[in-house]
Amino acid sequence: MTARGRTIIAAIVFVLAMSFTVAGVGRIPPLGALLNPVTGAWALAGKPELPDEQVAIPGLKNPVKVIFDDRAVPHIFATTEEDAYRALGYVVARDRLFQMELQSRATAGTLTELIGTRAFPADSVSRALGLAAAADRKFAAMDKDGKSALALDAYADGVNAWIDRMTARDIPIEYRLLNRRPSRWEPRYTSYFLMRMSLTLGYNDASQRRLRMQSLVGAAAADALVPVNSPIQEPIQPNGQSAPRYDFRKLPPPSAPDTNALRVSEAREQMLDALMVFGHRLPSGDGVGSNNWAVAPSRSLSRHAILSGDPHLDLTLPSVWYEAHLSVPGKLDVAGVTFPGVPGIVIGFNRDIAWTFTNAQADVNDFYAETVDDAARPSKYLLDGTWLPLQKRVEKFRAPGGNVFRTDTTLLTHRGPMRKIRGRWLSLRWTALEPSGEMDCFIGAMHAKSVDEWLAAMQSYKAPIQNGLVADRGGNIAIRATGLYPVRPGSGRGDIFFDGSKSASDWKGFLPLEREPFAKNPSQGYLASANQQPIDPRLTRDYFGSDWYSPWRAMRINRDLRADSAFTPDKIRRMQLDPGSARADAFVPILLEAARAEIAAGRGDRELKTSEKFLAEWDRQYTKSSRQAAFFELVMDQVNLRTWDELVTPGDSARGSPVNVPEQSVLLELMSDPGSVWWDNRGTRDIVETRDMILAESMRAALRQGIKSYGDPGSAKWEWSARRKANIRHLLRINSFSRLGIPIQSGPSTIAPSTEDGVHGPSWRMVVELGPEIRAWGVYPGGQSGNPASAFYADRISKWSNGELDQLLFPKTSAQIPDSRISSRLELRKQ
Amino acid sequence: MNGKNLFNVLLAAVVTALLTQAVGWLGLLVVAMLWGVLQKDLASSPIQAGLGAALGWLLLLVQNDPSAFYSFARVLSGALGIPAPALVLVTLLIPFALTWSMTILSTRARGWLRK
Repeated sequence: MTARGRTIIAAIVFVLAMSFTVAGVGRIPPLGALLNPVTGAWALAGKPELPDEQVAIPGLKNPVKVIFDDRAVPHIFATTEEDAYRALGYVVARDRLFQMELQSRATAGTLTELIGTRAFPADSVSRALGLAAAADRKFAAMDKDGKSALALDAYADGVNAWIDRMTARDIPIEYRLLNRRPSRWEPRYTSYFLMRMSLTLGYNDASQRRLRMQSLVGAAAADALVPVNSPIQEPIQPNGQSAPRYDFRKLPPPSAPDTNALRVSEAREQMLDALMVFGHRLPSGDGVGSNNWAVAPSRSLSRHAILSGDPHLDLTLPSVWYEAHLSVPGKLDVAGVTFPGVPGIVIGFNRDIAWTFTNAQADVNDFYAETVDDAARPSKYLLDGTWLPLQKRVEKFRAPGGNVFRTDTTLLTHRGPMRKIRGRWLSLRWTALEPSGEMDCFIGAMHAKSVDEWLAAMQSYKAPIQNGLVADRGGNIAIRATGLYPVRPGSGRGDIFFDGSKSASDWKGFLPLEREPFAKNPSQGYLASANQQPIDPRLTRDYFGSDWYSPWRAMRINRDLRADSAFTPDKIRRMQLDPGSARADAFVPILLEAARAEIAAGRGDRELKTSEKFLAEWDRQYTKSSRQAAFFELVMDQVNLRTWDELVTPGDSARGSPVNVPEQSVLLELMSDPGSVWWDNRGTRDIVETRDMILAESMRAALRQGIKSYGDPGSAKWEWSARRKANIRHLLRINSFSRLGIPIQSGPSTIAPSTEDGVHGPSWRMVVELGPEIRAWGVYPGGQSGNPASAFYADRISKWSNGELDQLLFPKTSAQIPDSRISSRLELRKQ
Repeated sequence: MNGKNLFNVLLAAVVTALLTQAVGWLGLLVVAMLWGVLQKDLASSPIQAGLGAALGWLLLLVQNDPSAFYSFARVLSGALGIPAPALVLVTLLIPFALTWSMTILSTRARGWLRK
């Protein structure tokens, strides 16, 4: 080759290599910075794990000692609370900086600036709901000299101290892949995170399901299928009964479809779809749910109260939780889990009390059909005959480079944001958008020294409504479903559609604290909640919500709690992973009875006999090796499909399955009426089916489907561990950063329920014994570090999936931590 | 490869490692320019510089904990949607390609300047 030719080739190679190195290609970031072995992504593999360090950070009043134990949990020893929050901000940012920014941007609706325009649908939802605007109002309303504001400021100082000190090799991998740099943290972002939790937990709208069913089977039937009160009463607030009560009634027969309701329903469904974040709907009731329970000293072996916390959320890597211990002598000594971005412990314990939460599933949002002056470009809306101006909020969406790629205008009535869906303008009122100060409550709760002090600290808590369970060393236990419960006009129900043109449709106020679901030291000696209806409707006329999750988990928990007066922390731990199912206990006997009746009537073919025998062998436990658990789930799918044929949208032959099915407690209610017209399949004109015929046919169909999908029932493919797995996805859905296909014990409606997609589950399990010295155990599915190359990224998943808990260190002083359990020491000094 | 060539490759590797520590990937360009200007063997010096640069980066990659590097290679390559060996290859190809091509261009530039 000539020298000239060689030079030309070299020039081409150089230009190509430089373009990859400097500019990247498509979604691939510049490779020079990404693959540089010293400061690029590779550096994360060689990054020292929790090095011993002395660091000067601004704002610190006195030195702070942080000791990381062998589980990478920081024990923060400070002399002032603000210094403790500052140190917490520093260490959480060091471990979870990208997660913190992603979460705050998700609320702000600025994800597009970080991860590109593909995040526009999610941002659009956040902006349309006005999440950041509401969070900003809450932040602005804080007392700037109050404990919460000072905590938020100090925490932000700590986060920014880490950002300022961070070297190129410390930048989290996600920023490198996105070719972005971390943004500075502002105190208001804590409010953003709490607002995000309201969207996750406090956005329940049964009225859509009810309306959809009304469109298909009429109002009376819809009221029974989406009932205000659960047909099985096992409430959170003890009702004096020692067993669940079955308030079963005959379901009204389906009437002709209501086409008007169908039209409205479809419009609203579209709006609700638009409101779903990341296009992800929460799974249905049997697959989700948090639990908490506490036993009084009278029911524990040690004669000390024991508390169990088991909140369920989306399973992600890194985890939504971060474990920490804050110690400020004479003022604060608290441990447990915090959300990255929140200064303080959200679920945990101090030297005197322990507390935890489950979601209340209350109905806290309503939609209003508005009348506007111009359907295409409205500027006014009608209220009591007067045209009122619509507020406008201009939203600019920016790409990573900062250029505006889209501008939207959000319209607001006095109720909240308004959107046009299929020609109708609908506005939303939602308690999460109301003024509130949750941070004050969390800070107060950490300082409480008794159940009463904790309840007092939490009484101004607004959203999302939580079943807060607390126990103290004095042997007291209490639970209260605290938050803003709207008081509606008329019947008080919120599962209906409101006329926006009348102020009479507006909320009348909020339920006073004394009418919230509550119990303290009940004679039964225990308290429990599992997202079920909180109060027996015979004891109150207040409306808290509708279409409640079937109380299977509560039934199982309460059954165990009633049966034992010698609980130990380990028994409580085992309960958290109990593979038994009240749902299976309820349905299996009916299925077997139906199959045997059909066989006795001469309609028992080989398929039915095999099915009956197979199901009868089941111990009704969702253990990993169970084959019948998979069969039972197939049967229940078939039962739903065949029973609720009336709920298939006319003309929807492609899908052929109901768009919505009632809660399983309603199905059980129907099972008590074997001759109901609901059992008749509308598709078979010459036969009137009965319950037993439908159930028997469901068993046959399930067996056929199972054999087709998994092979012979003896095959390992039938085993529950092959059918149900946990999928713990990375926040950006990067598979190699995720842990997928983890076999788990438990199934729909067990105490640790699991969803079919495996992305939801127990996000933190905790047991605390409140003796003279607090003893606590816990685990979450993930690890403390957000760095996928770290040994602490996913180190707890194995224990979590096996139902094991780590004993949590809770030293009174740094000297109490044994050297053998210390990973590293970090000393923060004044700058 | 004779002893002198091997020495040159190792020298380039050490210089690359030091310069990458100091100024990042731009150090590759500095190495290439140095080689292009200082080396007289026009046929082999670009290859020596390229191999040396790739070797320098390889040493930096495995210097702390080779096992952590290998396991992270699988994780990182998954995030980029390519096999782990390909990612390692790309990581080494960058210093090779940049340094090899820049050395040739530097050599030519030196020649033009002399004229």
